[in-house]
Parts: sequence; structure tokens; C-alpha cells
Amino acid sequence: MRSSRLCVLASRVVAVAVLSAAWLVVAAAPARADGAGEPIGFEVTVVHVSSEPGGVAKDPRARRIDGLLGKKIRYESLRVLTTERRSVGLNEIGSVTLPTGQRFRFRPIDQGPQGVLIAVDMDAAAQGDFRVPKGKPIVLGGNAYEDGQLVVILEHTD
Amino acid sequence: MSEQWERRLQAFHDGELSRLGRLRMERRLRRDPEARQQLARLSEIGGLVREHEAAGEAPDLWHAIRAELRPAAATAAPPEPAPERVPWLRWAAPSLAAAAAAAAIVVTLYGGDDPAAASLRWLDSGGRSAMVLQDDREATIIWLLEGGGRDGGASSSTGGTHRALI
Repeated sequence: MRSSRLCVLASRVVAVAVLSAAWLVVAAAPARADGAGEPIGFEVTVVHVSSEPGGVAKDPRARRIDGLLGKKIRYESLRVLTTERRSVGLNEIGSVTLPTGQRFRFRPIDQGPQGVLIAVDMDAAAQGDFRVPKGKPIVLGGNAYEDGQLVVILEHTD
Repeated sequence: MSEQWERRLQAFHDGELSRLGRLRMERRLRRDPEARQQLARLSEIGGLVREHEAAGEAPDLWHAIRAELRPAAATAAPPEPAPERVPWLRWAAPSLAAAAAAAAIVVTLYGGDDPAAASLRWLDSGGRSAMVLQDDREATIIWLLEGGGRDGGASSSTGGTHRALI
């Protein structure tokens, strides 16, 4: 009789253990499937360039961007409007609202030795995929804004 | 011949059929001259593709180009489609497929970019012209030109009177 009770008790313990293990597996599965992983650092800089005189703003960010753009684009003035940082996991969406009201969204899809593969979507303007190594900016410009044009710079930071 | 049959013939040509499937196909080939002719054509085209690849002449379109998207290009004649009977030719000629899929894309070559360092994989500017000004180790710079767009975008907010600064 006593051994029978022990058997019942043991089987209940085993059943509880199995159910707990199953619950743990189920609970852990979405986290793995999600695949968000460690957040990836990005910096989104929004710049205004214009053919109106005004020169390049003196801050280092403006000078760096001028160093990139000045060789390719003709403008008389350049100023940085905003710089925003985002930490975004894989397959999560980072978003920045531009002064035009458009949303600039980006989603890291994959990360590898050659950088982060990012899907970029700028409302009503452009969509694309880019493989971006750290420190190499993606520059999307040309949308009209005020007396000039808007330039969005996306950079993978850390 | 049905599309399914063409797929099976292609699989036979590529050695992907099971033993039983291979035997069936061989039996059909023995009594169907049209099937034999089609298989011969597959072999011929496959040989041409292999030769082309071996010559290393296939251009890496996307990494070596500057892309310019023009609404006008939408009216451009699409590349000549592959014959219906050889649907896999579409796979064998990715450059043609890319050109057909992006009827709005006009590409211009850009000297000096390092293909290995290029970031751009694809770009859709919604019918608006776009130029890849730079895509190398330093930066990727894409410039959207005035006009068009899915709904006018930022251009409409300022009357669309600004010219590109390039």
C-alpha cells in the first residue's frame, strides 16, 4: 500500500517536472525565434543643404558631412538639423521623424563580418537594402525642404 | 508540353530526378522526338551559360553601377523574354531578370567604386529619379532627383520648385 502511494507521488513529481520543462521550452522559444539579439547602435543625422549662401556650420558633425557631400553635391550652405541615436535589435524597426513630416525607418535584417544588412524606408521617397559596415554612412538626399534639400545620414555606430 | 513536364525535363537534365523518375523520363525520351529535341536544347543552352561563366565576363551589375530610376523608363521596351519552353533560362540570365523586374531602373556605369565595398543591394525610389553618387568604403551617397514620387512626397510640401543641386 505504502509503495503504491510512493509510486503515485513519484509519478506526480515526474509529471510536474516534465510539464515545467515543457513550459520552459515553450516560453523560451519565442525569444529565440524573435532573434532580436543584442541591440545595434545607429545614428541618424538630418542635414539641410541649400544653394543659398550661408556656408557650412562650424560644428564637427557638419564639417564631417561636408567632407563627404562636398565632393559630390554642389551647395552653398550646410547645417545639421538633428542627430538622433537609436539602439535597434535585428528585425526591429528604428524610426526617426524628419522635418518634412516623413518617417525615416530602418530595420537591421542581418549582422555579419561585412556589416549590418539594413532595410531602409523613407516615406514616399525611397526604399532599399544596404550592407553597412560600422562607421560607413548611408546618405540619402534630395527631398525638398525649405529653400534647399534634406539629407538623411544613417550610420552603424556600435 | 506542360510546365510540369518542362520542370521534370529540366530536373532530368540536371540529374535531379530519382532513379524511377529517370527511367520514366528515358522511356519517354526514347519514343518522343520533341522531348529529345527539347533536352538537346537544354544541354546546348547550359553549355553556353557555363562557357560564359567560365570566361568570367558576367558583369556584377548591382555593385558596379550607378542607378538612376526614371519614370520614363517604365515605357521602355522590356528585354526580350526567354522562350516559354525554357523557363529556367530566366535563372540562367539574372541580369535580364533584374532588368525586367525593374523596368523603371536605368543604370549608368560609375568608374572608381570598389564593388567589394559597395553597400547598396537594391533601391526603389517609387518612380522618382535617383542617382548613386558614391558607393565605396567611405560612404554610400544616393540622391533623389526632383519630380515624380509616390505622392509627391516632400516636393509637394514646398511646391516642388527646388532643383537638384548636383
